[in-house]
Order: sequence, then C-alpha cells, then structure tokens
Amino acid sequence: MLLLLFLAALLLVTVFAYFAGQKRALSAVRGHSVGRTLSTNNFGLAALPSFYGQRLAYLVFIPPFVLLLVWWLVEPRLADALISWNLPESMAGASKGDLVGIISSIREAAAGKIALPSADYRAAVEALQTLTWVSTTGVYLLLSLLLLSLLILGLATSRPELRARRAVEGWNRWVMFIAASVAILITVGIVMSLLFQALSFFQAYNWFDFLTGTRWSPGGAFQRGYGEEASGGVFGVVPLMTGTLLIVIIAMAVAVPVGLMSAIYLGEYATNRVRSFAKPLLEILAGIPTVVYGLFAALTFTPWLAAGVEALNSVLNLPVIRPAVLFVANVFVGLGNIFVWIAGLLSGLLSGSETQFMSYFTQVQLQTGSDIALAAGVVMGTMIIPFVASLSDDAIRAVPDSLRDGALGLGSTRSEMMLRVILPAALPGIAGGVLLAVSRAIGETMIVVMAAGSFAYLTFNPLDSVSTFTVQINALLTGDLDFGGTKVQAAFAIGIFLFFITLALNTLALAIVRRFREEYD
Amino acid sequence: MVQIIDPKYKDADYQRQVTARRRQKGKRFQALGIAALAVAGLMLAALLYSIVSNGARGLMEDRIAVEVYFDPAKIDPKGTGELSVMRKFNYDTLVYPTLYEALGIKAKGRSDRDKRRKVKQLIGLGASNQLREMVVREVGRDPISDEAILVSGGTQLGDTVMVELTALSTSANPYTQTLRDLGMLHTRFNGDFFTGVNSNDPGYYGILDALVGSFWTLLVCFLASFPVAVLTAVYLEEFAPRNLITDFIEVNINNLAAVPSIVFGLMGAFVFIFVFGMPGGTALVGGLVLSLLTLPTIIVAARAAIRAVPGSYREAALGLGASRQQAMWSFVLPSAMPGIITGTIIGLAGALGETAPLLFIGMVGFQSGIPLTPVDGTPTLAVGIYNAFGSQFDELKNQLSNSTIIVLLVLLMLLNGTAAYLRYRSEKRQ
Repeated sequence: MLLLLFLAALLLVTVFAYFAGQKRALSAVRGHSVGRTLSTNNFGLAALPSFYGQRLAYLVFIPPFVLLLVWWLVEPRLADALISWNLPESMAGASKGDLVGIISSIREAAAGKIALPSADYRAAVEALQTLTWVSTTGVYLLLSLLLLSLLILGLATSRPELRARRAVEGWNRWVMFIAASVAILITVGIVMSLLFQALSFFQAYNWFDFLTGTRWSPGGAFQRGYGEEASGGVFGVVPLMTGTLLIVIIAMAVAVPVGLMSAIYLGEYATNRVRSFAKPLLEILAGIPTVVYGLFAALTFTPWLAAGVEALNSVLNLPVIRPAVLFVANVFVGLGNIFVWIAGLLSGLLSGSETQFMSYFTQVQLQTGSDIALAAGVVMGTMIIPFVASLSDDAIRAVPDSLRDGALGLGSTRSEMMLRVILPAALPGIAGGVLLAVSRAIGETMIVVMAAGSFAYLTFNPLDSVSTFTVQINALLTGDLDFGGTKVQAAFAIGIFLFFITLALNTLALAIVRRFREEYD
Repeated sequence: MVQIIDPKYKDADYQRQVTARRRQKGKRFQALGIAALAVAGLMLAALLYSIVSNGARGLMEDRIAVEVYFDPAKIDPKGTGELSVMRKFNYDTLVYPTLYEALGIKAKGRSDRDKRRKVKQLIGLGASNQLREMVVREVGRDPISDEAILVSGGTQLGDTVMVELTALSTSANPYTQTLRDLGMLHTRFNGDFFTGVNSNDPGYYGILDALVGSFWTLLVCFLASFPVAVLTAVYLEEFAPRNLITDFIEVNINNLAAVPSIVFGLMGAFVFIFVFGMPGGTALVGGLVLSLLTLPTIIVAARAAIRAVPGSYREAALGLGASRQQAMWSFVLPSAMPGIITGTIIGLAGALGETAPLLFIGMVGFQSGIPLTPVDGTPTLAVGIYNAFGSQFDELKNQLSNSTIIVLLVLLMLLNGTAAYLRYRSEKRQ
C-alpha cells in the first residue's frame, strides 16, 4: 500500500519537476537582457527550456527509484539473514525441517499473529520487527527526504549556462542502452533459470541414465507404490526422443512437399487470380493459434483418422487382398527370422542362449488407440506448411534470374528449368528453411499436448500413441509448482535440452542460408 | 566428328514425341503444385468446418420448460421452516417426476434405469442450484461465525412454478428430440456464454473472465514490451556504436525469436513466480511472459519502420540545427510510428493466441470470477480453449471450446485487419 502511495508520489513529483525545471530556467533569464550569444539560444539559455525540465525530472526520479528497486530485491534476503544471525546458539545443530518451522513461527510472531513461542527467539523476533519497521516506514521516509533534497539541489543547479540538453541526451542514451540490454537479460534469465533447476535435478539423478534410459515414468499419484516409481520416478528421455522424432518426421513429410510445391506453383505457374486467394489461404494457416490446431487434432482429426484406419482394415480383409497382405507381411517376418536364426547361431556359439523367433501374422488388423501420433504429426505439418512455403519462396527468389533465363534459353521446359536448375541452386536455402521448420516442430507444444499421448511408449508405430518433450514438460509442471521437487526439476532439465537443440538447429540453419546467399554475390 | 545429337532426333516424329513427353512431364509437375495447394486448402477447410460446426452448436443452448412443484414434504419434511434445512435439499429431484411422466418412463424399478440416467444427464448439476436459489439464497458470510447468511428467494414451499432449465443435450441423448417434439424443449442463443465465467458445468460455462483476462494480459504485455522494444530499435538503428556488446545484443534478439515459447513459460514460472514471488495465474505474470515473445517481433518491425523513413527527414532536421536525438524523437520516430504500431498489433495478435507459456503459471483451470485488476487470477481466451477441452467424448465441453475459438478468431481477424488497414493507409500516403 505504502509502496503504491510512494510510487504515485514519485511520479507526481517527477511531473512537477519537469514543469518546475522549465519555469526555473526561464525565470533565471527573465529580466536580464535576452539575446543570443555563442553559447545560448533565443531564451538566453544554453538549451531549450524543456531540456531543463527533463533534466530535473530525470534527477529526481532515477535515484529514489533505483534505490527502491534495490531494497525490494535485498529485503527478503536480509530478513532471512537477520533471523539466522539472531537464532540462539542451541539451534546450530537443528535439522532443516525444524529450522523451517521455527523460522516461520518467528515470522508470524514478528507480524503479531501469534505470541512469542519461546524467550530464546526474542532477539530474532525483535530484529525482524525492526526490519519490518524499516521496510515499511523508514525506507519511505529516507527516500522522501532524498527526493526533496534532489529537487532542491536540481532547482539550485538549473542555471542558464547549464548544458541541460547534453545531460538529458546522455541519460537518454543510457536508458536506450538498458532497454537494448533487456534482450541479453532475458537470455541470461532463461539459461540461468533452466540451468539452476536442471543442475539440481542432475544432482539427484544420473545424467547418463537420463540421456540413455529407455523408460520415462515420472510417477504420479496413480503410479505410486511399486518399484522405482515410489521413490520418485524414472527419467529416461529415449522414448521422448523417439516420440518427438516420429512426430517431427510425420510433420515434415506433410509440410515439406506441400509447402515446397505450393511455393513453386505460386511463384512460377499461378495466375494472379489463383495467387490472390492462395496467398491469403496460407496466411490464414499461419495465423491460426496452435491451441486451435490442437483442438482440431484431438477432437476432429483423430476420430477421422481412426475411422479411416477402420475402413482400411475392412479393405485389407477383402477376400483376395487379405491373403496377399498376410503373405507379404509374413515374407518379411520370415526374412527377419532367418536373420534371427543366423544371429542365434552366432551368439549360440558364444553364450548358448535360446533364440526368440518372431511370430507370424494370422490376422490383418491395424490398431489405433485414443491418441494417434499420425494425427498430431499431420496437423502439426499443416501448421508448418506456410512456414516452409515462405522460406522456400525466399530461397527460390534468391536464385539469380540469369540462371532461369539461361535454362529457358537452352530450350528446357519450365518444369525442367525448375527441377534441374533452380531447385538445385536453391537447395541450401530450402534445407536451411526445413531445419528452421524442424526446430519449430520440436518446440511446438499445444498440438502434441492435446493430441499426442501422455504415456511415453518406446515405439515408432505412427498409429500408436507417443509422447514428446513438450508434452512431458507440461505434464510435469501441471498442478502445484514445487521448485524443490524432482518432477519440476526434470521438466527444466528437458527444457534446457529443448533450448539447446532448437538453438543449435537455428544456428545451423542460419549458417547454411548465409553461406548459400554469398555464392551468387 | 563426335556425334553430339542422337541420330534418332533427326526424325521429326520422334522429336515431336519427345517434346510431347517433356510437356506431359511439365503438366504433371504443375498438377503436383495444384495438388499441394489443394491439400493445404482441404486441411484449412476441414479445420474451419470443424470449428464452425461444433462452435455454432456451443453458441446455442437448449432450454427445458417444466412445471416444478416445490413439494414441502420433500424439501422440509419436518416442517421446520428453516432456510438452512431447505438449502440442503437436492432440488433437481423435483424436476424428474414431471419429465418421466412426459416421456413415459417408469419412475421406479430396474427396467427403465438406463432411461432415467439419460434424463438425469440432460438436466445436469446447474439446475439444482438454479432451483435452490429460487427458494433460498446465500447473500454473504457472517464475519465471526463464518456461517452463510441466507435469505428467502421468493418462492414459497408448496408453490408450482414454470421453470426454464438449461439442458445438457448431446447428440447421443435420444430424449432431446422427444422433448422438442413435445414442445417442452427449445433452442435459443446461449447468452451465458458471453456473460458467464469458467465453470465445470457446461450449461453455465462462459468466457467473460477469459475475455477480460485476455484484455489485462495484452495490456500488461503491451506496456512491458512496447517501450522497451521501441527504445531498443531506436538505439540499434541510430545510436549504438559498432562494438562487441551491440553485436551480442543483436545475436540475442535473433535467438529470442527462435526460442520455443514453452521455454519462456518455464523461465517465467521460475523467475516471476518463484524468484520474485509474483502471484501465479494472474494477468500480470501472463503479460510479462508474453512480452518476452512479442519483444523480438516489435523490435524487428520497429527497426524496419525506422529504416524505411527517408534519410532526407533526418538530414533536414540536422541541417536546421537539431541534435541527432532531437531529429530522432521529433521527426524520424513519428514518421515511423504507423509501421511500428502495425508490427506491435501483429505481435499482440500472436500473444493473444499463445497458450503454451501460460500453462505453467497457474492459469489452467482457474475459476474465480471476472478479474477486476491485472493481479487477479484469470485465464486468457487461448487458455480458456484448453481449459474447456475435456476429452474426445465430452461433447458439450468440446462445443464450448470451439465456440471460444470462434470468438478468438474473430478478435484475431479484427486485430490483423486493423494492422492491414494501417499498413495500407501508410503505403498510400507515401
């Protein structure tokens, strides 16, 4: 409350200072013979009056504001430190859990909510009460004093020969520089917060098991009670990697051909009329929020796909087709079993273990669950189509017209010119674009959260349910955020994994694109 | 002499054949292009069809008109006349006998148990509250004893009143049609959807809290990102010295644009909520997290807009004796403003649809009424879509989720339309 009041007062005084500074500067030259000298303007001042106002506003605003910010950051840590300094000697050996309880009771006693639990804590409680008085009253008194003295000091120094513009512009530069540094600050914030949590995760969990483990089972309320899950879960990211890879491959299988061919068609063949409705179509696809795609994938596309698979099943079971399908499938199983037999012979010589043959198919039945990786992948691919199209378009446009004209001049058709000259020349650019698209697909969250599964099966079957990095981050962070818990820390560990994968892909893509651009310059 | 051309080509017929084949190939290639566009168009059509067909249904609601007898023997069997007793009764049970009778279902016995369950699904939980409020209402809580303060809702026990209840009619429920044929059920515009707030009961679900929450979130996002982005753009375009720090800033801005949005959510949850102790689930934290996403967008747009201002503006100002900063603030920046604002609107439109980074800051499943300030817990529209999304089988929730999408898409169209109009106007002027 007092904070808001003080901020309001600070703003008011700043506005007042702006006008007072102008007035003061003008009144200093009023009455004197106003004229232009080398160092002054028509007012007889060294700068326009408004700069005197701006200078004074800067002067009164910045020091109190910065001090307040610093106090706001320091105060909570100061409170912790004060408590631990003033705790009685006997508490030195207390366990961590006890300490937390005592500290919270000291805080409550200091706030007057409960009576003093024990005379031992009197010193801590009193220290905390002093701090509370300082942070609620003392600081504001001090800052108000500072504000007033700055105002007086500033007014006193607002002399006509003061180079106010130079001072203001100098400060402006600093403000701009700080604004620009926010980008660095955010990156540092991301890396620090991810690293901080991820490192505490890797203290509790072996990083090698994390990277090579084939089972991902963080353990929730429903899974508690048996094996390792009871002790906090198993975190092996291999199933998440394969799941992400599967969905990204499906998405790219949709997005790359469709996006590339759309770009070629729109750039080379389309009439203006076609272009006038096809371009907005791609723009709409690009502008639809991902949560909308997610809902579509989960509620509409997955049931459609399941129905499609059912239909396919009945087609595959038609009289003539069924034996053919079984035959082809079992030929593959048979070939595989020959391989297994040879491998068994070889390993049998070494270890004498029994060989396991694959069983032959007896029925034709493609099975789907309630979540289908294919559905999530196709919808994600649709989302990425415009992205691929616009990047391919850029790459194709970057090919010089002389190549195009040369190919046409030699008598090639337009499709031959495209396929044999332009596309090979644009290939690095397109590859860079595809890499950018892959990085986007890996980081995409809502579609997979809503349409892919939450159980991380280690499978590459597109009709099955798989889980991705982003799905698991969401699953681990839903509910209460316990920043000390292994589950939340595991989410940050995946997060940093994700951050560096996408960073590497983007850097690689930009490097490829840049290299390619230089070729024709 | 080396034979370069295959002698076969000397034959005119063969030449014609080859040319025809090559043209054929070109046609096929062109057809592939059309097919690609058709695939994109089909997916978009399927998407829009799914949204509109489901969402339109969610914008309508079915109402059952039914006569309810407030039976004293059931509500207050001992005749105490106390409001606290009347409050405990399950009022939805008053509706069923009338409906069973109208539908020809036996009120007791095993044979019609499934049918009775279907009727009960039609009424839902909200009806009980609605009927209870007619008899007894809670107006507040006693500050000392924390007991509810109850007043009479106007309806007396023993009255027979015609009541309209929201029906949770799904396509699988056969009684919707039967009741409609009987004239007891009619469909009307779902006003609750725009005046109500997030609720587990599909009959009373609304998006007003999400709309207001989106407004606060975008406001915070704008206030946090716009000044910083414009100052950054001005600095980098005009004043930054060419040195390592400037290069590093540029690299960082480019990288931020490529970071997956979910990572911003992780960072926001940790930095804003855990380190700074800001209240979770609020528009304040949501807006700050989203501002990290819009920042690069606005910076890039603002830099392009500043660069597009003709150099003559700057030179004229400098020639008249203005300092570089005066030329910037008074001449260049105002002329670049339309472009900057267009970029800002596009950035904010992206933030409006963004969901992933908001999942971890406590916005999911938030139910607390309309947020009056940015520090009240609230969902945004996009989070509302995710909130309402139940499962494949929760038809009503999914319809409402799609209806929310319609509202979101209309807002996005308005924002992007404004941006397109601004761009068009500034292009025309030049």
